[in-house]
Amino acid sequence: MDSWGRDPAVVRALDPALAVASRWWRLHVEGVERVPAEGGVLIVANGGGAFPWAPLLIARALPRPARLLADPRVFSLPFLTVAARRLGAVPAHDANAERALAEGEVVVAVLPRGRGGPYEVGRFDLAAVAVAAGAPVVPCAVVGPEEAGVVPWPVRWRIEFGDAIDLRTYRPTQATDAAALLEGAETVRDRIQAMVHDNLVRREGALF
Amino acid sequence: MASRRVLITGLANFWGTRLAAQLADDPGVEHVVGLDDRAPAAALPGRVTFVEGDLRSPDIVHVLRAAAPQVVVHNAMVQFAGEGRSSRTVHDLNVVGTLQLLAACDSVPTVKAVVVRASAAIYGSAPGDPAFFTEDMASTRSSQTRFQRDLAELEGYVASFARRHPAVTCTVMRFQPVVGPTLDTPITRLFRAPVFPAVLGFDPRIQLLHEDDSVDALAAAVRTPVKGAVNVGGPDVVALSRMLRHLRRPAVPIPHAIYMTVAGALLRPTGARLTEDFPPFLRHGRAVDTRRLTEELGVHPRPTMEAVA
Repeated sequence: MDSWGRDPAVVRALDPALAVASRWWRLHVEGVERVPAEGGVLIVANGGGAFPWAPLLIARALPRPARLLADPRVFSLPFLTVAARRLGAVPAHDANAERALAEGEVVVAVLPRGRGGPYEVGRFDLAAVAVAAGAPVVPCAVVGPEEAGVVPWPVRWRIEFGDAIDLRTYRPTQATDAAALLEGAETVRDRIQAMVHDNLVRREGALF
Repeated sequence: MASRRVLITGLANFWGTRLAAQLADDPGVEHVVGLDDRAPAAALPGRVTFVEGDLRSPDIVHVLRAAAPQVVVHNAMVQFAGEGRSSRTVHDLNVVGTLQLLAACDSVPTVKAVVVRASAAIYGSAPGDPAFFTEDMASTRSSQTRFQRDLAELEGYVASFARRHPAVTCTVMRFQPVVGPTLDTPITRLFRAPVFPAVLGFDPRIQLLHEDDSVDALAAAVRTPVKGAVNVGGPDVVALSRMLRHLRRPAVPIPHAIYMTVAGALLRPTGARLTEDFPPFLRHGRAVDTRRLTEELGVHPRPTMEAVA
Protein backbone atom coordinates (compact mmCIF):
# COMPACT_ATOMS: atom_id res chain seq x y z
CA MET A 1 0.00 0.00 0.00
CA ASP A 2 1.35 3.42 -0.87
CA SER A 3 1.12 6.59 1.20
CA TRP A 4 -2.10 7.63 -0.55
CA GLY A 5 -3.75 4.36 0.43
CA ARG A 6 -3.76 2.53 -2.90
CA ASP A 7 -3.11 -1.19 -2.59
CA PRO A 8 -1.91 -2.94 -5.80
CA ALA A 9 -3.13 -6.27 -4.40
CA VAL A 10 -6.70 -4.95 -4.17
CA VAL A 11 -6.44 -3.44 -7.66
CA ARG A 12 -5.31 -6.86 -8.94
CA ALA A 13 -8.07 -8.61 -7.02
CA LEU A 14 -10.73 -6.55 -8.78
CA ASP A 15 -9.22 -7.18 -12.20
CA PRO A 16 -11.09 -10.44 -13.00
CA ALA A 17 -14.42 -8.74 -12.26
CA LEU A 18 -13.49 -5.85 -14.56
CA ALA A 19 -12.38 -8.34 -17.23
CA VAL A 20 -15.79 -10.03 -17.09
CA ALA A 21 -17.50 -6.62 -17.28
CA SER A 22 -15.38 -5.72 -20.32
CA ARG A 23 -16.40 -8.93 -22.10
CA TRP A 24 -20.06 -8.57 -21.14
CA TRP A 25 -20.11 -5.03 -22.49
CA ARG A 26 -17.97 -5.87 -25.56
CA LEU A 27 -15.68 -3.00 -24.51
CA HIS A 28 -13.60 -1.49 -27.28
CA VAL A 29 -10.63 0.66 -26.19
CA GLU A 30 -8.92 3.02 -28.60
CA GLY A 31 -6.01 5.45 -28.43
CA VAL A 32 -4.23 4.27 -25.25
CA GLU A 33 -0.97 5.00 -27.07
CA ARG A 34 -1.88 8.69 -26.97
CA VAL A 35 -1.49 8.75 -23.17
CA PRO A 36 2.06 10.00 -22.45
CA ALA A 37 4.16 7.18 -21.01
CA GLU A 38 5.85 9.38 -18.43
CA GLY A 39 5.13 12.34 -16.21
CA GLY A 40 1.92 13.74 -14.81
CA VAL A 41 -1.11 13.30 -17.07
CA LEU A 42 -4.65 14.42 -16.36
CA ILE A 43 -7.19 12.17 -18.07
CA VAL A 44 -10.60 13.81 -18.29
CA ALA A 45 -13.60 11.70 -19.23
CA ASN A 46 -17.33 12.20 -19.46
CA GLY A 47 -19.31 10.58 -16.67
CA GLY A 48 -22.73 9.08 -16.20
CA GLY A 49 -24.40 5.94 -14.98
CA ALA A 50 -25.13 4.70 -11.52
CA PHE A 51 -21.94 2.84 -10.65
CA PRO A 52 -18.42 4.25 -11.21
CA TRP A 53 -17.57 1.70 -13.89
CA ALA A 54 -16.05 4.34 -16.17
CA PRO A 55 -13.08 5.37 -13.98
CA LEU A 56 -12.35 1.75 -13.08
CA LEU A 57 -12.41 0.60 -16.72
CA ILE A 58 -10.34 3.62 -17.80
CA ALA A 59 -7.78 2.85 -15.08
CA ARG A 60 -7.69 -0.79 -16.24
CA ALA A 61 -7.04 0.28 -19.82
CA LEU A 62 -4.04 2.40 -18.83
CA PRO A 63 -0.49 1.05 -18.86
CA ARG A 64 0.38 2.61 -15.50
CA PRO A 65 -1.51 2.87 -12.20
CA ALA A 66 -3.82 5.86 -11.82
CA ARG A 67 -5.28 8.05 -9.12
CA LEU A 68 -9.03 8.38 -9.50
CA LEU A 69 -10.63 11.60 -8.35
CA ALA A 70 -13.79 10.62 -6.49
CA ASP A 71 -16.66 12.47 -4.86
CA PRO A 72 -15.56 13.45 -1.32
CA ARG A 73 -18.86 12.07 0.02
CA VAL A 74 -17.67 8.55 -0.81
CA PHE A 75 -15.02 8.90 1.89
CA SER A 76 -17.56 9.43 4.64
CA LEU A 77 -19.26 6.08 3.97
CA PRO A 78 -18.06 3.09 5.99
CA PHE A 79 -16.43 0.23 4.01
CA LEU A 80 -16.89 2.07 0.70
CA THR A 81 -14.21 4.56 1.73
CA VAL A 82 -11.75 1.73 2.40
CA ALA A 83 -12.49 0.04 -0.93
CA ALA A 84 -12.21 3.34 -2.81
CA ARG A 85 -8.84 4.24 -1.26
CA ARG A 86 -7.42 0.79 -1.93
CA LEU A 87 -8.44 1.04 -5.58
CA GLY A 88 -6.60 4.33 -5.97
CA ALA A 89 -9.40 6.82 -5.41
CA VAL A 90 -8.61 10.14 -3.73
CA PRO A 91 -11.06 12.88 -2.74
CA ALA A 92 -11.61 15.26 -5.67
CA HIS A 93 -9.71 18.15 -4.10
CA ASP A 94 -7.56 20.47 -6.22
CA ALA A 95 -4.64 19.90 -3.84
CA ASN A 96 -4.83 16.13 -4.39
CA ALA A 97 -4.98 16.41 -8.17
CA GLU A 98 -2.13 18.91 -8.30
CA ARG A 99 0.09 16.91 -5.97
CA ALA A 100 -0.39 13.64 -7.84
CA LEU A 101 0.26 15.35 -11.19
CA ALA A 102 3.37 17.06 -9.83
CA GLU A 103 4.60 13.64 -8.65
CA GLY A 104 4.32 12.43 -12.25
CA GLU A 105 1.22 10.31 -11.85
CA VAL A 106 -1.80 9.66 -14.04
CA VAL A 107 -4.92 11.27 -12.59
CA VAL A 108 -8.36 10.30 -13.87
CA ALA A 109 -11.16 12.84 -13.49
CA VAL A 110 -14.71 12.05 -14.52
CA LEU A 111 -16.81 15.09 -15.35
CA PRO A 112 -20.39 15.34 -14.12
CA ARG A 113 -23.16 14.92 -16.65
CA GLY A 114 -24.28 18.22 -18.15
CA ARG A 115 -27.82 19.58 -18.01
CA GLY A 116 -28.68 18.51 -21.54
CA GLY A 117 -29.31 14.84 -20.72
CA PRO A 118 -27.34 11.65 -21.43
CA TYR A 119 -23.91 12.08 -23.02
CA GLU A 120 -23.92 15.82 -22.39
CA VAL A 121 -20.48 16.61 -20.95
CA GLY A 122 -20.48 18.81 -17.84
CA ARG A 123 -18.13 21.49 -16.61
CA PHE A 124 -14.38 20.93 -16.45
CA ASP A 125 -12.88 22.89 -13.57
CA LEU A 126 -9.39 21.43 -13.24
CA ALA A 127 -7.74 23.62 -15.89
CA ALA A 128 -5.90 25.72 -13.30
CA VAL A 129 -4.63 22.55 -11.61
CA ALA A 130 -3.31 21.09 -14.87
CA VAL A 131 -1.58 24.38 -15.71
CA ALA A 132 -0.07 24.72 -12.23
CA ALA A 133 1.29 21.17 -12.39
CA GLY A 134 2.38 21.61 -16.02
CA ALA A 135 0.58 18.40 -16.95
CA PRO A 136 -1.00 17.62 -20.33
CA VAL A 137 -4.72 16.89 -20.43
CA VAL A 138 -5.88 13.80 -22.30
CA PRO A 139 -9.56 13.95 -23.28
CA CYS A 140 -11.36 10.64 -22.99
CA ALA A 141 -14.78 9.64 -24.27
CA VAL A 142 -16.76 6.84 -22.65
CA VAL A 143 -19.81 5.45 -24.40
CA GLY A 144 -21.96 2.81 -22.70
CA PRO A 145 -22.51 3.72 -19.05
CA GLU A 146 -25.63 5.79 -19.79
CA GLU A 147 -27.36 2.72 -21.25
CA ALA A 148 -25.86 0.19 -18.83
CA GLY A 149 -28.03 1.56 -16.03
CA VAL A 150 -28.57 -0.12 -12.70
CA VAL A 151 -29.36 -3.42 -14.44
CA PRO A 152 -26.17 -4.06 -16.43
CA TRP A 153 -27.66 -4.51 -19.89
CA PRO A 154 -25.15 -5.99 -22.33
CA VAL A 155 -24.75 -2.74 -24.26
CA ARG A 156 -21.63 -2.01 -26.29
CA TRP A 157 -19.00 0.11 -24.55
CA ARG A 158 -16.30 2.24 -26.12
CA ILE A 159 -13.47 4.12 -24.45
CA GLU A 160 -11.40 6.43 -26.62
CA PHE A 161 -8.39 8.47 -25.55
CA GLY A 162 -7.75 11.61 -27.58
CA ASP A 163 -4.59 13.57 -28.35
CA ALA A 164 -3.07 15.31 -25.33
CA ILE A 165 -3.89 19.00 -24.94
CA ASP A 166 -1.29 21.32 -23.45
CA LEU A 167 -3.31 23.92 -21.55
CA ARG A 168 -0.19 25.98 -20.97
CA THR A 169 -0.60 27.25 -24.52
CA TYR A 170 -3.71 29.05 -23.26
CA ARG A 171 -1.68 30.91 -20.66
CA PRO A 172 -0.27 33.98 -22.36
CA THR A 173 1.00 35.90 -19.32
CA GLN A 174 0.17 34.61 -15.88
CA ALA A 175 -0.97 31.45 -14.09
CA THR A 176 -4.19 32.97 -12.83
CA ASP A 177 -5.44 34.32 -16.15
CA ALA A 178 -9.08 33.36 -15.69
CA ALA A 179 -10.19 34.06 -19.26
CA ALA A 180 -7.38 31.99 -20.78
CA LEU A 181 -8.02 29.13 -18.35
CA LEU A 182 -11.73 29.20 -19.16
CA GLU A 183 -10.97 29.03 -22.86
CA GLY A 184 -8.65 26.06 -22.24
CA ALA A 185 -11.29 24.33 -20.12
CA GLU A 186 -13.94 24.85 -22.82
CA THR A 187 -11.59 23.37 -25.41
CA VAL A 188 -11.19 20.24 -23.29
CA ARG A 189 -14.94 19.95 -22.75
CA ASP A 190 -15.71 20.48 -26.45
CA ARG A 191 -13.13 17.92 -27.49
CA ILE A 192 -14.61 15.30 -25.15
CA GLN A 193 -18.14 16.13 -26.34
CA ALA A 194 -17.11 15.73 -29.99
CA MET A 195 -15.38 12.44 -29.23
CA VAL A 196 -18.46 11.18 -27.37
CA HIS A 197 -20.71 11.95 -30.35
CA ASP A 198 -18.22 10.38 -32.73
CA ASN A 199 -18.10 7.19 -30.66
CA LEU A 200 -21.88 7.05 -30.34
CA VAL A 201 -22.07 7.03 -34.12
CA ARG A 202 -19.21 4.58 -34.58
CA ARG A 203 -20.71 2.18 -32.03
CA GLU A 204 -23.49 1.41 -34.56
CA GLY A 205 -26.23 0.60 -32.05
CA ALA A 206 -26.09 0.11 -28.33
CA LEU A 207 -27.19 -3.53 -28.25
CA PHE A 208 -27.08 -5.11 -31.71
CA MET B 1 21.85 32.03 14.66
CA ALA B 2 23.65 32.33 17.98
CA SER B 3 20.79 31.49 20.33
CA ARG B 4 22.45 32.58 23.52
CA ARG B 5 19.59 32.71 25.99
CA VAL B 6 16.43 30.65 25.64
CA LEU B 7 13.18 30.89 27.54
CA ILE B 8 10.89 27.85 27.53
CA THR B 9 7.29 27.96 28.70
CA GLY B 10 5.71 24.76 29.97
CA LEU B 11 9.06 23.58 31.38
CA ALA B 12 7.49 20.84 33.47
CA ASN B 13 5.86 19.03 30.57
CA PHE B 14 7.57 16.33 28.51
CA TRP B 15 8.88 18.63 25.77
CA GLY B 16 9.92 21.39 28.18
CA THR B 17 12.03 19.09 30.33
CA ARG B 18 13.58 17.24 27.39
CA LEU B 19 14.26 20.36 25.34
CA ALA B 20 15.81 22.15 28.32
CA ALA B 21 18.11 19.19 28.92
CA GLN B 22 19.11 19.08 25.24
CA LEU B 23 19.75 22.83 25.06
CA ALA B 24 21.77 22.73 28.29
CA ASP B 25 24.19 20.40 26.48
CA ASP B 26 24.44 22.79 23.52
CA PRO B 27 27.58 24.96 23.71
CA GLY B 28 25.78 27.62 21.67
CA VAL B 29 23.26 28.14 24.44
CA GLU B 30 24.35 30.25 27.37
CA HIS B 31 21.36 29.88 29.63
CA VAL B 32 17.90 28.36 29.67
CA VAL B 33 15.06 29.82 31.70
CA GLY B 34 12.04 27.59 32.15
CA LEU B 35 8.66 29.00 33.06
CA ASP B 36 5.77 26.91 34.34
CA ASP B 37 3.00 26.99 36.91
CA ARG B 38 4.21 23.75 38.42
CA ALA B 39 7.64 22.45 39.28
CA PRO B 40 9.32 19.95 36.95
CA ALA B 41 9.43 16.41 38.32
CA ALA B 42 13.06 15.69 37.51
CA ALA B 43 16.18 17.54 38.62
CA LEU B 44 17.33 20.17 36.12
CA PRO B 45 20.78 20.53 34.58
CA GLY B 46 22.95 23.37 35.89
CA ARG B 47 22.34 25.83 33.10
CA VAL B 48 18.56 25.61 33.43
CA THR B 49 16.69 27.92 35.82
CA PHE B 50 13.11 27.20 36.78
CA VAL B 51 10.82 30.17 37.39
CA GLU B 52 7.37 29.49 38.75
CA GLY B 53 4.71 31.65 37.21
CA ASP B 54 1.32 31.49 35.52
CA LEU B 55 1.49 32.28 31.83
CA ARG B 56 -1.99 33.79 32.04
CA SER B 57 -0.93 36.54 34.42
CA PRO B 58 0.49 39.81 33.05
CA ASP B 59 3.37 39.49 35.53
CA ILE B 60 5.31 37.22 33.19
CA VAL B 61 6.54 40.33 31.43
CA HIS B 62 8.89 40.82 34.41
CA VAL B 63 10.22 37.29 34.02
CA LEU B 64 10.85 37.94 30.33
CA ARG B 65 12.59 41.25 30.99
CA ALA B 66 14.82 39.66 33.61
CA ALA B 67 15.63 36.65 31.45
CA ALA B 68 16.20 38.78 28.32
CA PRO B 69 16.03 35.76 25.99
CA GLN B 70 16.92 35.76 22.30
CA VAL B 71 14.67 32.77 21.66
CA VAL B 72 11.30 32.14 23.29
CA VAL B 73 9.97 28.60 22.99
CA HIS B 74 6.24 28.63 23.63
CA ASN B 75 5.73 25.07 24.71
CA ALA B 76 2.80 25.47 27.12
CA MET B 77 0.14 24.32 24.68
CA VAL B 78 -2.04 21.67 26.32
CA GLN B 79 -4.07 19.19 24.29
CA PHE B 80 -5.76 17.16 26.98
CA ALA B 81 -7.60 18.04 30.17
CA GLY B 82 -6.79 16.04 33.31
CA GLU B 83 -4.05 16.22 35.94
CA GLY B 84 -6.11 18.82 37.76
CA ARG B 85 -6.87 20.80 34.62
CA SER B 86 -10.42 21.17 33.42
CA SER B 87 -11.13 21.64 29.74
CA ARG B 88 -11.93 25.27 30.58
CA THR B 89 -8.43 25.68 32.06
CA VAL B 90 -6.90 24.01 29.01
CA HIS B 91 -8.62 26.53 26.76
CA ASP B 92 -7.40 29.39 29.00
CA LEU B 93 -3.83 28.14 29.02
CA ASN B 94 -3.76 27.78 25.25
CA VAL B 95 -5.45 31.02 24.31
CA VAL B 96 -4.96 33.51 27.17
CA GLY B 97 -1.52 32.10 27.92
CA THR B 98 -0.36 32.64 24.35
CA LEU B 99 -1.85 36.10 24.28
CA GLN B 100 -0.08 37.15 27.50
CA LEU B 101 3.23 35.64 26.47
CA LEU B 102 3.23 37.40 23.10
CA ALA B 103 2.12 40.66 24.73
CA ALA B 104 5.10 40.33 27.06
CA CYS B 105 7.40 39.63 24.09
CA ASP B 106 6.20 42.91 22.60
CA SER B 107 8.13 44.83 25.22
CA VAL B 108 11.28 42.68 25.35
CA PRO B 109 13.57 43.87 22.53
CA THR B 110 16.10 41.04 22.93
CA VAL B 111 13.63 38.49 21.48
CA LYS B 112 14.73 37.55 17.98
CA ALA B 113 12.80 34.33 17.52
CA VAL B 114 9.64 32.70 18.84
CA VAL B 115 9.20 28.95 18.42
CA VAL B 116 5.73 27.59 19.13
CA ARG B 117 4.83 23.97 19.73
CA ALA B 118 1.45 23.55 18.04
CA SER B 119 -0.37 20.63 16.49
CA ALA B 120 -1.28 19.30 13.06
CA ALA B 121 -4.74 18.80 14.59
CA ILE B 122 -5.36 22.34 13.32
CA TYR B 123 -6.06 20.73 9.91
CA GLY B 124 -8.68 18.47 11.43
CA SER B 125 -9.75 15.18 9.84
CA ALA B 126 -12.52 15.17 7.26
CA PRO B 127 -13.60 12.88 4.41
CA GLY B 128 -12.81 15.24 1.52
CA ASP B 129 -9.42 16.34 2.80
CA PRO B 130 -6.22 16.75 0.84
CA ALA B 131 -4.21 13.54 1.13
CA PHE B 132 -1.21 15.58 2.34
CA PHE B 133 -1.67 18.92 4.07
CA THR B 134 0.89 21.56 3.27
CA GLU B 135 1.55 24.40 5.70
CA ASP B 136 -0.53 26.93 3.77
CA MET B 137 -3.74 24.91 4.15
CA ALA B 138 -4.52 25.60 7.83
CA SER B 139 -6.32 28.88 7.22
CA THR B 140 -8.83 27.31 4.87
CA ARG B 141 -10.13 24.86 7.47
CA SER B 142 -13.27 25.27 9.52
CA SER B 143 -12.79 24.30 13.14
CA GLN B 144 -14.82 21.26 14.19
CA THR B 145 -13.51 20.57 17.68
CA ARG B 146 -12.66 22.63 20.72
CA PHE B 147 -8.96 21.85 20.46
CA GLN B 148 -8.93 22.77 16.77
CA ARG B 149 -10.51 26.13 17.63
CA ASP B 150 -7.92 26.69 20.36
CA LEU B 151 -5.13 25.97 17.89
CA ALA B 152 -6.61 28.30 15.29
CA GLU B 153 -6.79 31.08 17.89
CA LEU B 154 -3.29 30.37 19.16
CA GLU B 155 -1.80 30.41 15.67
CA GLY B 156 -3.79 33.52 14.85
CA TYR B 157 -2.12 35.37 17.74
CA VAL B 158 1.30 34.17 16.64
CA ALA B 159 0.62 35.30 13.07
CA SER B 160 -0.46 38.76 14.15
CA PHE B 161 2.60 39.01 16.44
CA ALA B 162 4.76 38.07 13.46
CA ARG B 163 3.13 40.82 11.41
CA ARG B 164 3.77 43.39 14.14
CA HIS B 165 7.41 42.31 14.48
CA PRO B 166 8.87 41.56 11.06
CA ALA B 167 12.35 41.33 12.60
CA VAL B 168 11.31 38.45 14.89
CA THR B 169 11.30 35.02 13.30
CA CYS B 170 8.18 33.15 14.37
CA THR B 171 8.12 29.38 13.84
CA VAL B 172 5.03 27.29 14.46
CA MET B 173 5.75 23.57 14.77
CA ARG B 174 2.66 21.55 13.86
CA PHE B 175 3.18 18.14 15.46
CA GLN B 176 1.45 15.04 14.25
CA PRO B 177 0.37 12.78 17.16
CA VAL B 178 3.47 12.03 19.24
CA VAL B 179 4.10 8.48 20.47
CA GLY B 180 6.97 6.91 22.35
CA PRO B 181 7.98 4.84 25.35
CA THR B 182 8.05 7.59 28.00
CA LEU B 183 5.38 10.05 26.90
CA ASP B 184 2.05 9.62 28.65
CA THR B 185 -0.98 11.07 26.83
CA PRO B 186 -4.36 9.65 25.81
CA ILE B 187 -2.76 9.11 22.37
CA THR B 188 0.14 7.02 23.67
CA ARG B 189 -2.25 5.11 25.92
CA LEU B 190 -4.51 4.38 22.95
CA PHE B 191 -1.61 3.03 20.92
CA ARG B 192 -0.35 0.99 23.90
CA ALA B 193 -3.72 -0.51 24.83
CA PRO B 194 -3.89 -4.34 24.52
CA VAL B 195 -6.77 -4.04 22.05
CA PHE B 196 -7.26 -1.11 19.71
CA PRO B 197 -10.76 0.38 19.44
CA ALA B 198 -11.13 1.10 15.72
CA VAL B 199 -14.11 2.58 13.90
CA LEU B 200 -16.07 -0.05 11.96
CA GLY B 201 -15.76 0.33 8.19
CA PHE B 202 -12.90 2.82 8.27
CA ASP B 203 -9.16 2.42 7.85
CA PRO B 204 -7.56 5.83 8.38
CA ARG B 205 -4.19 6.85 6.97
CA ILE B 206 -2.01 7.56 9.99
CA GLN B 207 1.23 9.48 10.32
CA LEU B 208 2.90 9.63 13.74
CA LEU B 209 5.92 11.28 15.30
CA HIS B 210 8.37 9.64 17.71
CA GLU B 211 8.84 11.54 20.98
CA ASP B 212 12.64 11.87 20.53
CA ASP B 213 12.15 13.28 17.03
CA SER B 214 9.59 15.77 18.35
CA VAL B 215 12.19 17.11 20.81
CA ASP B 216 14.84 17.18 18.06
CA ALA B 217 12.48 19.15 15.84
CA LEU B 218 11.99 21.79 18.54
CA ALA B 219 15.74 21.97 19.17
CA ALA B 220 16.36 22.36 15.42
CA ALA B 221 13.86 25.22 15.30
CA VAL B 222 15.65 26.90 18.24
CA ARG B 223 18.99 26.59 16.41
CA THR B 224 17.71 27.72 12.99
CA PRO B 225 14.32 29.40 13.27
CA VAL B 226 12.38 29.61 10.00
CA LYS B 227 9.43 31.87 9.32
CA GLY B 228 5.95 30.40 9.41
CA ALA B 229 4.50 26.97 10.08
CA VAL B 230 6.37 23.68 9.78
CA ASN B 231 4.64 20.30 9.67
CA VAL B 232 6.33 17.72 11.87
CA GLY B 233 5.67 14.03 11.32
CA GLY B 234 7.21 10.79 10.15
CA PRO B 235 8.22 10.42 6.50
CA ASP B 236 5.61 7.74 5.82
CA VAL B 237 1.86 7.30 6.04
CA VAL B 238 0.38 3.91 6.92
CA ALA B 239 -3.11 2.51 7.10
CA LEU B 240 -4.22 1.81 10.66
CA SER B 241 -5.07 -1.80 9.81
CA ARG B 242 -1.53 -2.40 8.56
CA MET B 243 -0.03 -0.76 11.64
CA LEU B 244 -2.09 -2.93 13.98
CA ARG B 245 -1.14 -6.07 12.06
CA HIS B 246 2.51 -5.05 12.34
CA LEU B 247 2.10 -4.53 16.09
CA ARG B 248 0.13 -7.82 16.36
CA ARG B 249 -2.54 -5.81 18.13
CA PRO B 250 -6.15 -6.97 17.78
CA ALA B 251 -8.57 -4.28 16.61
CA VAL B 252 -12.08 -4.02 17.97
CA PRO B 253 -14.24 -2.43 15.27
CA ILE B 254 -16.90 -0.22 16.83
CA PRO B 255 -19.72 1.48 14.86
CA HIS B 256 -19.18 5.21 14.72
CA ALA B 257 -22.48 6.09 16.41
CA ILE B 258 -21.52 4.33 19.64
CA TYR B 259 -17.75 4.74 19.35
CA MET B 260 -17.15 7.13 22.24
CA THR B 261 -19.23 5.05 24.69
CA VAL B 262 -17.78 1.66 23.79
CA ALA B 263 -14.20 2.81 23.25
CA GLY B 264 -14.35 4.80 26.47
CA ALA B 265 -15.41 1.71 28.40
CA LEU B 266 -12.81 -0.42 26.62
CA LEU B 267 -9.99 1.99 27.41
CA ARG B 268 -11.03 2.72 31.01
CA PRO B 269 -8.47 0.27 32.50
CA THR B 270 -5.66 2.10 30.66
CA GLY B 271 -6.81 5.46 32.01
CA ALA B 272 -7.01 7.00 28.54
CA ARG B 273 -9.83 9.49 28.20
CA LEU B 274 -10.73 10.11 24.60
CA THR B 275 -11.68 13.57 23.37
CA GLU B 276 -13.96 14.61 20.54
CA ASP B 277 -10.86 14.79 18.29
CA PHE B 278 -10.45 11.00 18.27
CA PRO B 279 -13.47 9.74 16.25
CA PRO B 280 -12.82 11.91 13.17
CA PHE B 281 -9.10 11.11 13.37
CA LEU B 282 -9.80 7.38 13.54
CA ARG B 283 -12.22 7.57 10.62
CA HIS B 284 -10.42 9.82 8.19
CA GLY B 285 -6.86 10.01 9.51
CA ARG B 286 -4.52 12.80 8.56
CA ALA B 287 -1.22 13.12 6.68
CA VAL B 288 0.99 16.16 6.27
CA ASP B 289 3.70 17.15 3.84
CA THR B 290 7.01 17.28 5.75
CA ARG B 291 9.24 18.78 3.06
CA ARG B 292 9.86 21.99 5.04
CA LEU B 293 10.91 19.97 8.07
CA THR B 294 13.46 17.87 6.20
CA GLU B 295 14.74 20.49 3.76
CA GLU B 296 14.79 23.66 5.85
CA LEU B 297 15.26 22.33 9.38
CA GLY B 298 17.21 19.21 8.42
CA VAL B 299 15.17 16.99 10.74
CA HIS B 300 14.47 13.43 9.56
CA PRO B 301 12.05 11.74 11.96
CA ARG B 302 11.88 7.97 12.02
CA PRO B 303 9.05 6.24 10.13
CA THR B 304 5.61 5.93 11.70
CA MET B 305 5.93 2.12 12.02
CA GLU B 306 9.19 2.44 13.97
CA ALA B 307 7.86 5.27 16.10
CA VAL B 308 4.85 3.29 17.25
CA ALA B 309 6.63 -0.04 17.76
